[in-house]
Amino acid sequence: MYKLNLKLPHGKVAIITLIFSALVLFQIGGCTDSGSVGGSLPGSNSDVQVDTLEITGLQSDTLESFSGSLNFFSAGRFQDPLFGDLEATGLIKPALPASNEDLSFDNNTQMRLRLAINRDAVYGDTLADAEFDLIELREIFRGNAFMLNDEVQIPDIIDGEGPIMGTRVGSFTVNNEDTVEVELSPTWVSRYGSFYNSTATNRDSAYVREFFGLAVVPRNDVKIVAFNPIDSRFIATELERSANADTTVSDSIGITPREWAFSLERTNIQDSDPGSLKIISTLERVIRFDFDFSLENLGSRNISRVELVFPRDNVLLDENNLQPGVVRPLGNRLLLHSVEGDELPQSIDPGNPIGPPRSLPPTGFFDEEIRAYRIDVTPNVLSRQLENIDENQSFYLTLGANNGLIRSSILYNSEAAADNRPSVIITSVNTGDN
Amino acid sequence: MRKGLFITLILCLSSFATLAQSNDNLVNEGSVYSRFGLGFPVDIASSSADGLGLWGVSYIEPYVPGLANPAQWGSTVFGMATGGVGINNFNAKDNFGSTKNALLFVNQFQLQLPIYKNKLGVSASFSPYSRTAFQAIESGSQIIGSGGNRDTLNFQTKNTGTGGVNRFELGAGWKINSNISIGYAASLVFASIDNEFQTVLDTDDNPDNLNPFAQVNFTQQTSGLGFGNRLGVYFTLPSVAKEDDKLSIGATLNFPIELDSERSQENIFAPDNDDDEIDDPDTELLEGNVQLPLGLTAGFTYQPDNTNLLSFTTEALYQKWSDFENELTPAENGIFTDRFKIGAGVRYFPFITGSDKFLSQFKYRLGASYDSGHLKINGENINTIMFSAGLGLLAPGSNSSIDVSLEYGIRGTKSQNLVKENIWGVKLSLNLAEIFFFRPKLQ
Repeated sequence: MYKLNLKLPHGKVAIITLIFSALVLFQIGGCTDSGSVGGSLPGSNSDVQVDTLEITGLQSDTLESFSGSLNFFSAGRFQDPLFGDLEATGLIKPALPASNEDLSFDNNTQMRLRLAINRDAVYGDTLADAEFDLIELREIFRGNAFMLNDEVQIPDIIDGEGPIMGTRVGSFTVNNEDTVEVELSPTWVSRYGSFYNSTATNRDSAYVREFFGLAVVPRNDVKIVAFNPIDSRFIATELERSANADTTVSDSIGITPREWAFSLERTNIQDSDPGSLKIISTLERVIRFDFDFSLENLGSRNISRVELVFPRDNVLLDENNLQPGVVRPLGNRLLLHSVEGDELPQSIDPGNPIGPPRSLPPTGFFDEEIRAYRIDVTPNVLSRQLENIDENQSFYLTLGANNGLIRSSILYNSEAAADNRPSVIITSVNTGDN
Repeated sequence: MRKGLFITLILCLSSFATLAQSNDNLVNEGSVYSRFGLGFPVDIASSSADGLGLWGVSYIEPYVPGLANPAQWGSTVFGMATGGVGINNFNAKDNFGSTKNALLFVNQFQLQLPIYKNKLGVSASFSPYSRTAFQAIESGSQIIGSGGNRDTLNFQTKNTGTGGVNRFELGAGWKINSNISIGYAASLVFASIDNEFQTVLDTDDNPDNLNPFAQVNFTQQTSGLGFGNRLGVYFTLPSVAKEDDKLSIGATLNFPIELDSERSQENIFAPDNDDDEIDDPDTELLEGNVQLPLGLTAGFTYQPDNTNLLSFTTEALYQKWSDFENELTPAENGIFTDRFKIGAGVRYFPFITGSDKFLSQFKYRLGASYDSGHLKINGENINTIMFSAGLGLLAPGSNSSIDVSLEYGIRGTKSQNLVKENIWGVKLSLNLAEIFFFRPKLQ
């Protein structure tokens, strides 16, 4: 094997070579800075391109949606010239907490229902008094399984006391408050109290089977009100009566709702204009379409942004404008769902996510400047979530999440004027090779 | 003494390594003109010619492997090897700004062995054909939307290119007689070039400073494979002007190379910038051939006496880059033009005299060259003037040596929106002689 045998005649040679090499290396390699020149040389030609593809074949669809155990439940009546005559009946049933040593239901126990109201979701005359009755139900409803169009058997109202189902348990009026409190009838309170005080082993199951809750039934048609069950309470109060007949509150408990739901009946809905489609947050009207989101169809692999634009039919909405003080909640959010046809409506309600990287469906917002809903699907396109769509798979648009609020809107479809047609806007970078 | 040289070597190599590792962005950018074609050409040159700025096709330097001319391999007596690294500093300016880049590179490795001493020799080498190392930033804007939704979309693209074309070559040289040698080498030529594009987009009207546009990152990978051939001849003419002088003439012919090439693309997407990146599988964009051009190198060296003390060399190169075809980027083909390079140099080896003076311990080399360049952009040839100087450090007791060369040159012009580069470079070569074989007892 070769052995390098290096010897120098003079140590100076090594030292000079060392100094020379070090100086040269650090002079040449050490002086650098960031920056770039040559941007004007030919051949780079990277270019930003904005393409627009029309979305065609939008169709209106109706889904049977759940309306129980949502964030809100609605009640009221209102006649909207564009979206029909609506009647919503709310349902609510108190929970049955474990017996409290400090409170035992008896003749001195009063009970009130304090209902929290979402004032931003009033549908109708904001200034008018909406009147409601609380009617005891005659049949079980299951909050988790209640559908929007399930019929509620409301017994004829029988005023007065007595153990007759169908009696009015209370009445209240909603104007512009954020909460209302309704005193519940002693009979109903007594019936509830019997379950509350029960020590039987089948206490809970008997309560489920035999105590059905209350219906919030509108008495006039001025507006629909959305109640917040999470913040609502049944408040039981123990009254102490003294010898001089004065009463004082000795104790009270707040009982959360156990189940809640609402049914909605909509009639006389106006036919859609051929160039537009109605969309309603309760999934009574959703919009279905097919679109090829593959990069081949979008025209580039180097995508910076993919945005869906759905112009709102403001002309039709304006033509059917309501009177001053009367409002129609127009949803300002659109959700895009990619779902198998046979998975409906579970895959949409309560908003089955398309998948990572975002855990929620792509959310669109209403852009006041262009008067259209815009949905950014860039992450979903780039992560290939929207590719390889099965034949059975379609895209659905919903007006926000189905959360118990009733909101409506109208979108133009592909038969509208060219400027108003729904489209996909693709911003990409191209270098000539791609 | 040995310790001093050893420390010198270690420090020099450490310096290179440190520079290489200090910051990738600072030491992997070279000439901006390397963005065209398959990179900026790197000529086949012997390490003995580094200090001249030439190739060394017309002379044989004893105990130093010669890569430039296959015909010289027939004169191999001892097993030899060489390897080298270098660093170039580019101070580039255009009409819009300036930048300084440094490029660290491995020059070449060669093993040269005798089959029949001074008659038939072979060579195996790994050397670059071209080098791609650049960064270009391009900015622009365009109007998007209409009416009230009208906005300006600004974008900036950073294009970083790395890689190049390399060759693995095997060849043999035959010294037919004391005056004539011929040689042939075949090579496997492979290209591997990465072009990374990073584009940031944003609009003027950007509420809440939330950029709705995702950064676009992708890398285009160009690869290719082909075979190369070259021939060399070498003539030695003694007693040309006087009794003990010598004239040597050498020439090589590099045949065109056809690379079977393809370009693919890999996209990288970070969904929310902080999340894990999503890599797309490579997508093939293009397939096609790249035709590398014919090249001819020739020169002569005159030695006034037969001691190798002093020699003068003139060499020239011609490459027919007008025939360059790149089916992957056909739009660029029009900017390539035939390349001429000519240079002259002088070598002075005072150690041969046996003097023990300090300055007589080295080999000295000096040269200058003019290169018309292989690019003609906006009507301007991208030419290069280069000045070179070299210092050879001998290892007494062995015929091995270390060569350090320094070069300075000017490339291009600022006119026509082009770029002018001031180039400083240093190369370090280690030449090992007498490997695998014992030294002759009688020398």
